[in-house]
Amino acid sequence: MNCELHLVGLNHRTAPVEVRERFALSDPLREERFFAVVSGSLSEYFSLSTCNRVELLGVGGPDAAARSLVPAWAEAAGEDAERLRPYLYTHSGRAAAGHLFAVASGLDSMVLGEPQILGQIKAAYRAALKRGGCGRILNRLLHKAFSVAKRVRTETGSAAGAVSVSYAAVELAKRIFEDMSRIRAMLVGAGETAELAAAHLIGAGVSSVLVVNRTRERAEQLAASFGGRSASFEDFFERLTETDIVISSTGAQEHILRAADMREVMRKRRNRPVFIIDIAVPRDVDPAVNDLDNVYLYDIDDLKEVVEANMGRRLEEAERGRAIVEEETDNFRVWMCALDLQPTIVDIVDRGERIAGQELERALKRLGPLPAGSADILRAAFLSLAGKLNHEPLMYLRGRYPGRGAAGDAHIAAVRGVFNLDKDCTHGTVRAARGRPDSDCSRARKTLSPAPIRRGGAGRRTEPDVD
Amino acid sequence: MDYERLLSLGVILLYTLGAFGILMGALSVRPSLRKAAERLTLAGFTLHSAALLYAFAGVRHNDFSAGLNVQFLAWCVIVLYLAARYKLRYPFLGMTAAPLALLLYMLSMRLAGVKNILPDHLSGLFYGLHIWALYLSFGLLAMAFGAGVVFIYAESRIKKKMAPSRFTLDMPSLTGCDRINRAAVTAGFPLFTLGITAGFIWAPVLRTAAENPKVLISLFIWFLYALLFYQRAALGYRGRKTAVMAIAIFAVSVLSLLADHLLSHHSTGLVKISLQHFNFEYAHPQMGGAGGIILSAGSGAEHRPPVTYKINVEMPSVLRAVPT
Repeated sequence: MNCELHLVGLNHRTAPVEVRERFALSDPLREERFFAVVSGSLSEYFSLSTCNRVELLGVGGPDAAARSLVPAWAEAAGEDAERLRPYLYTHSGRAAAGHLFAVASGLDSMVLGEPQILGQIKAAYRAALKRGGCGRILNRLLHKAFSVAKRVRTETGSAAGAVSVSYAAVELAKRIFEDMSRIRAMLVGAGETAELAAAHLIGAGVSSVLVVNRTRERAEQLAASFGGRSASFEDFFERLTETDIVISSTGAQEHILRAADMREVMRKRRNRPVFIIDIAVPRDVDPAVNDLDNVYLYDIDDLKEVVEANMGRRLEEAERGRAIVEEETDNFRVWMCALDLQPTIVDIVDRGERIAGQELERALKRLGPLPAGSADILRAAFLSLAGKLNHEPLMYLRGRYPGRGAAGDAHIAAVRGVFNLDKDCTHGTVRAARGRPDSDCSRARKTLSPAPIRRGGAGRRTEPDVD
Repeated sequence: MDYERLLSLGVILLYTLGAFGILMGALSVRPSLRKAAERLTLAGFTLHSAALLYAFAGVRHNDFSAGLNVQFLAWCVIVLYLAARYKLRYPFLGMTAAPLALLLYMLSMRLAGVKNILPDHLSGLFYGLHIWALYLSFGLLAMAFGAGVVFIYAESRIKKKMAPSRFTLDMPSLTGCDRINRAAVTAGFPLFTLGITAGFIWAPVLRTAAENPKVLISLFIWFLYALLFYQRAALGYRGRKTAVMAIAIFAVSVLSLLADHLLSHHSTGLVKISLQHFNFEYAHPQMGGAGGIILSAGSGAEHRPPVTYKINVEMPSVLRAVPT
């Protein structure tokens, strides 16, 4: 097995909704089947399935995506893998990590910057953990994804500002009122957008909702659906003196609230601020009402403009978010690189300790019986010597590693050649005991140029030093 | 360099970094920068408190420098800011409080050599009340000013149907700003009234309002404050009007403070100015002094050549000494 990271997925941009439905893994049975199939061929695996995307992650050999992830996915969905392929994107290594970071940060979402995706990834991570799908690499990757998403959200405005009319009204209310739990809202008329805005206001924690309508029955019906109260339209002005947010959507052909009326209402309210959302067409409220102190009036076009401005700002901020994702992807790549070096480091240290042990045994035989404790002192000295001799080569290995790719492989191969580490690999002894991935070993064999390195001075010099 | 000066430089450095960081953190919407700057301001405040204690420990019971008074004022501003920051969760007030405290502290350094010596019968309860009440009300006014500025900016964006700027995302709501204004006026006006009244009882010379523009300005500020208090309490005014009023009162107060400390000295009847090793003392006739100028040499002056000074008495209670 190899420790390469792979990602396969489809989303709202690459696949229509009917394809997303067919290949969704959100059903627990499908997900279970996917994990059961994929666990046989990959060391680590993870699946995320939402209404807009499916993202599958796996750790394995170079062709793990095509040979393991896609067939397992198709099998779990009960579909043919070939029907799935046209809608797929695949990423490996750095690109896979970068894609996941962008998804977690909401930068790849249909509604840019939406926060729900992070919660969905966390839930999927918990599910993968339960099934033992996350090991060293995916644990690190997903925790990093959570921190990147948090960083993008706090350092950029990519998730700031409402992007729907009804939620824009709630956000505006929060800019006016400090404590939503003390706010009383009133619905005048019963339009669909008004209902949606009222639902958002209730979600934001307003203390009560009053429905005023010309048809009392309709008012009562709507109030019951919100758990609110109803009043007759004749009480409108009286109710206005005790309401903080008004959502108006009547079918009236003339203004139901004029500036002069509102001035009188404000006097009775002792200038307590009021937020009026007029989503009726034609408008219910005289625009001059907005000129009064402590009265804030928004009509449907104003709200749409707010939404468009927010969308524009999110797009701008997303660029900054992507820069953060790039930076963090590089950091993750550095960590992955250190992971690549680890088997070679372990091999070098083991080799030193093994040679030190052999030489110590030989020396002890020649010395014969020794005073108590002398053998331990000698053993410590031999191990210390081996450690000190290895120190500089290990620093060179870590410090000069150019990263994954041909140059990185050549670097590792050169160091392995200098220490003649792959003699062990050929026999498969040390490697198997240490559990180092076979493909790394074979990669080292493939990329190693035995003739020049083994014949080189460095290779010859190291042997006499220890033997 | 003595400890007092070292402490002062530390305070100025920390307040400068804190004020700059708070402003930059708010403008660039970087909470981490703002929080780091708040910690620097808090560290500056700790040093400031130490510097004040050190200074108070070295003061004779009735010998206050004008600088020490202003330093105490800066301390009051930060105390109120910290209370609002950690009790009411209003970090944005740091944008006003931190730069203001820095300016006041630097002003206090400039006034360090100017000393007011109070006659025994003028120091005591009413002097303490006068200083404490006025300084606390000034600190509250500074909070109302900060809240007022944010209110006007945020409200104008809402009224003009503009999307919130990134800067306002971290700011409180309009009613939150108005709450600060109400709290500052409700507590600040009685304190200001108490401070002014204590001042009149404490120093009868201040009653000669016609001769002292500072008294007139103080009364003018009190009148504005009273108007704002009345508008809020009796007429139910809130929002933009009260924010504008708070900003105006604070602006007049700052101008009055700067004029008082930079152009003249607080008139206490007896003014002592130290220049190098020579001291001039001027006893105000209304305070029981002879009205004459007393020249005395301090320690170490024996071997210096004689220096002559021109004494320029601009007003009965204001004295300025200029080397000739």
